Amino acid sequence: MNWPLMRITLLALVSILGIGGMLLADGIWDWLFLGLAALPLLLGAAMLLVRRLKASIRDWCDTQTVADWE
Amino acid sequence: MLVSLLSGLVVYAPHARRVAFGALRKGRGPRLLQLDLHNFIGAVVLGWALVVTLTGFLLGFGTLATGMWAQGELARVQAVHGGAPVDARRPPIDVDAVHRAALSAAPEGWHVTSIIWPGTDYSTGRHYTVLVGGSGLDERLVRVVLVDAETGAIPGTAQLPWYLKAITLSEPLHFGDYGGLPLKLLWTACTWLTLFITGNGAWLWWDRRRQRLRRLVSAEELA
Repeated sequence: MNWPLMRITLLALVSILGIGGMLLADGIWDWLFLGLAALPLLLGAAMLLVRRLKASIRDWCDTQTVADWE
Repeated sequence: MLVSLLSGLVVYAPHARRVAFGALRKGRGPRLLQLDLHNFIGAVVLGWALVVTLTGFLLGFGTLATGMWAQGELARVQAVHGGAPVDARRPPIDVDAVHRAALSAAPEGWHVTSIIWPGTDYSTGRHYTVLVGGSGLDERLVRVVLVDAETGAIPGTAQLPWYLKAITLSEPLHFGDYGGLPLKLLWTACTWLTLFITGNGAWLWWDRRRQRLRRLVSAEELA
């Protein structure tokens, strides 16, 4: 089984579960299902942020010289 | 839309083997960046887009299904519960009494969502048709209560057929109007992202076509 494809399909299914669950649920459950519905978006945004952060740390490291640390 | 989503999922697999989820190849030309954005956003909104596509497909049959129901099951109810018609402009029983009568025939805690006057396509010459709904899911899955416009009696109640239930449930799932502001914000974000990947998908197709043509022209010039 293709893992990236499975991961995306699972994310889509979780989102569908959240969207459907919100229609059925009330109260605190609403927030849980909203979280599930928005999970792919949140995960995507988190991945973008992490990659951007990693890249900026790498860039910063590239600008450092031995002299900077002496 | 469904075809584009499923075909997108199929072509996503080889792309995902080469490019990690969330990685955008910047500085290597606009085409690669747009391709990564297209695949990344497409993967993120896939679940939402599938729900909106399938419910939109069902909603497309709304008028047809309502017509089928009106000509089939409703027509049977109208035939069974006939009686001398009343003056539809001034029915003997007023709307407050109809409201009370309909609620007395509905489960406790339910409320009236619509009252249809006698003498329309969805009522009889003698009866009001009242739609009642509960809370949560029951609010969407309304029941039909007939109220005699002369006596206030309830000759019958009916549930919607399965296909109308499916279409009725499709409406909130399509428009996202059932979960307050947070769900509306999610719907807005997904709508804009889908709009973006539609546009950038068209650009990717046009750009590939342009590149092919350019290669063809240069190959002809070399020959």
